[in-house]
Amino acid sequence: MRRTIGRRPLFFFVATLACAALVPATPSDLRWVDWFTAALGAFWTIMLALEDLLGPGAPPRPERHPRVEDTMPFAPPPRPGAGGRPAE
Amino acid sequence: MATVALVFVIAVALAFDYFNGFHDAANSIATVVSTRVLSPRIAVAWAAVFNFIAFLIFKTKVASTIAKGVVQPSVFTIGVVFAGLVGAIAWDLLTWYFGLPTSSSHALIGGLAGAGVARAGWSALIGSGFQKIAVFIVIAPILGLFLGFTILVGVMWAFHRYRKVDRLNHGFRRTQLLSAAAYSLGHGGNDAQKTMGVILALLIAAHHLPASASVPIWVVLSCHAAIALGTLSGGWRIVHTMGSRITKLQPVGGMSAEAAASATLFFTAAHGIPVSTTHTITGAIVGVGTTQRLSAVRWGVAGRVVWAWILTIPGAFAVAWIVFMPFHLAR
Repeated sequence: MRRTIGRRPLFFFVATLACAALVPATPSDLRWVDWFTAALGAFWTIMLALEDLLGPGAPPRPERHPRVEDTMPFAPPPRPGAGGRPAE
Repeated sequence: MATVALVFVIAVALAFDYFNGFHDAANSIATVVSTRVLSPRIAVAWAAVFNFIAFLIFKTKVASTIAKGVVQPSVFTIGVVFAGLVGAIAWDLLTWYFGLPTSSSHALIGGLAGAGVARAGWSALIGSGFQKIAVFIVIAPILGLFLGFTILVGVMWAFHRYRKVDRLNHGFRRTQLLSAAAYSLGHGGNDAQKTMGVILALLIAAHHLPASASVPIWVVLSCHAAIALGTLSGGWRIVHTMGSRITKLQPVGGMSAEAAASATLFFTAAHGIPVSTTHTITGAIVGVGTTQRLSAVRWGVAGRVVWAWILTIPGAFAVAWIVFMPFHLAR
């Protein structure tokens, strides 16, 4: 199943953009505050986006069909009349 | 006669400071009350004490910004300041009645601006000062939001292996006392200085002080005392909105929100930037709430808060303008 970025990183992204957009209007001696806030927001935007895309909530990768000997403690009995193919 | 008017307007300014503390009391106590760290009565006393002693920590840079950085000092008269205060107080009372967490700071700035413009037109406003204030209307709550989120995530990561949850919560309840105290220091340090700035402007306008004067100590003490008394009187009506209706808080969340808000307030006070303590703590609480998920924040309530923000400066501006105009026309 294709993972998508949720609303939380988008919310953080919008707040980050708001801070960055205010830089030109901010007195020069205080612009570092805008940049710091935007950088903090950008960091969490990326982290939250990665969590949505790659985090524990992602569905497991499809596994190859497990071999019987991986799951059964003993060798399965042969199927009656079959050529020794293990039961599933 | 002029002295009587001066004393009267100073009393009105201190009354505004008192209402500021009254109106903003919920900001100081909501988290410690909603997490049941303190009872409401003890919480307001705790907050009031730290509101008062904030003068020992902060200089008066915010006061200087209010007195000399928003409206041209030459525009200030006793009438202008009075009209500005009436505009701010009227707006505060209105939002208090409807239980909206608004900003007394922006109401005061809007009120002074409205009265200044009524007297001397738009040139009365100092663009750079308004610019700085306007930018931090947005930056302060967003900074509180990101810091609140960061602090809580950091704390959760630091203690994620700790198994004794009860002991952990007990520890965070104690640290929340410290963070609530820090927040009240920031609140007192930021908000009391706004009234100091108003009184300084009054004293300069009435020629009791030179234009280069700093804030007299009696003004510092009286403003901090007024805001502390206002906090002590409580603001119970608003506490539900701030503490529990925006998002549910655990002690660790309350501590993180207050730590984030107090860091923001300490910084802005040190740089002479008048910000809204209401906005800042709201942003921090939202930031803490979003560590769970975005839907953990009750956005309907937060939305009402945003509307109050948008309307505060224009609302107080309009009231102050209307109050001053009869004086201006009568001249």
